[in-house]
Amino acid sequence: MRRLLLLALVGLASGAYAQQNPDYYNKKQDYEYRSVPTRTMGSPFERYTHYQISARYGVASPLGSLKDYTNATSKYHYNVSGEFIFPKNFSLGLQFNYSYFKERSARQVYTEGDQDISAVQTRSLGATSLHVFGKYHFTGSNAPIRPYVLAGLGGTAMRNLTYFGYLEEGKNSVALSGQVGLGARFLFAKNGNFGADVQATYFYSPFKSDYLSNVTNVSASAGLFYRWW
Amino acid sequence: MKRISKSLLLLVLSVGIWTACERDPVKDLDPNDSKVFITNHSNVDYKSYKTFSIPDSVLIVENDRSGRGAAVQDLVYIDRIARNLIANGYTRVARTAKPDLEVTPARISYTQSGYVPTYNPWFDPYWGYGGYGGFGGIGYGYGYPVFYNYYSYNENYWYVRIADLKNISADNKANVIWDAQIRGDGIYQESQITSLVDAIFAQSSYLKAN
Repeated sequence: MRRLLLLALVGLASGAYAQQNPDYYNKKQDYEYRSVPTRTMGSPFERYTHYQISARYGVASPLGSLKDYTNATSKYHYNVSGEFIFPKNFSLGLQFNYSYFKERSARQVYTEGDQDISAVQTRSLGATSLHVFGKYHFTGSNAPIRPYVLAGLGGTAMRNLTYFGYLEEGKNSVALSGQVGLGARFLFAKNGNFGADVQATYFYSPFKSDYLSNVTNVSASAGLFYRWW
Repeated sequence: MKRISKSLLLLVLSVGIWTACERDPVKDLDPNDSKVFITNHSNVDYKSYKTFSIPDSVLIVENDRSGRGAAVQDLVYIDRIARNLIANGYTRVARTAKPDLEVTPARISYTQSGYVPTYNPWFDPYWGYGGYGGFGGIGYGYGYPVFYNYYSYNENYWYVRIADLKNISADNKANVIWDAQIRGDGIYQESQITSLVDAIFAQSSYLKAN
């Protein structure tokens, strides 16, 4: 009885495996149906617009006035995106991104007019962006390695806080921002759903505050993606 | 339906990640580094004054109430201010002896709390209520539901003010020629007060009688 149950379980499992992997049977039967066009059709990922979500983590390095303000590489650079991948070489999506820059100076006296402030100054910028982006891919949508270039435009919630000790001075506002970048996507399995994504981007925002004349940085990030149709 | 729920999940996830990863820049600040010394001075000739008087209790200001305090740390505070002024060449006299300068030591605490409506989820209500704060330009947007957020903040600091009694103006007002604030963590600890008071005088090298 026990053996029967076990056999039944194995049978079910192989049936389920075959359902998840149509190629399992396709390959075996290929010679019989070679003339049937549906058997030679590409993967649905190549034929249909499909979806992809990805999450990446990385580092960002400030440039320009942001570098004068916080001259430290950001270890807090997160990125989540979702996109529509069209059968040809383009894709369109929405990207959420957070970067955080912080630098602390040793105690010194800051003089402004008749006022002297002796303090440890902490300067920070948290940039939360929501971008609409487009990508151009150089290889087909089912290629194991898929390099691309991207450009995005949207808004960034800037949290620019300067602290004297715990005394806070700052500006919190939404600014226009954009990014351009290049990257590549690597599939873990042929025709699979999962893969790795690496990206390098240049970010620009004309945000202005008492300390910043614009926000510019370059970042590098790596992460995982999932695609489905 | 499946697709809608997936995009919804993505949206909820993004907002969650955003709030989770917004960082507090001064969370890791050492209590010693949190101390801030602020001094304001005027363009008077500090050498033209010779004597000062200082009361034997501090002025306590709590929101809109005020009183006098003579706790141990208050007395240490007064004593240290007097010693610094004497070391800088000024002579301590009684209030009745017509001093050139009147010194007012004070301990100030200020608490504020309430509800603030937030019109935009991108706007952080906690921001803007700090000592220096102020509302940023285009933080508000319309068309979002209004959120109410509770906020509470308090400030505690030492304050000292020196007024010029030598040159009283025509309308009987004395000008403040110097004031200082000491802020930060642990400023009321008795053992800290001496070095805190020394610090405000150290950054005011012009405050000397000779």
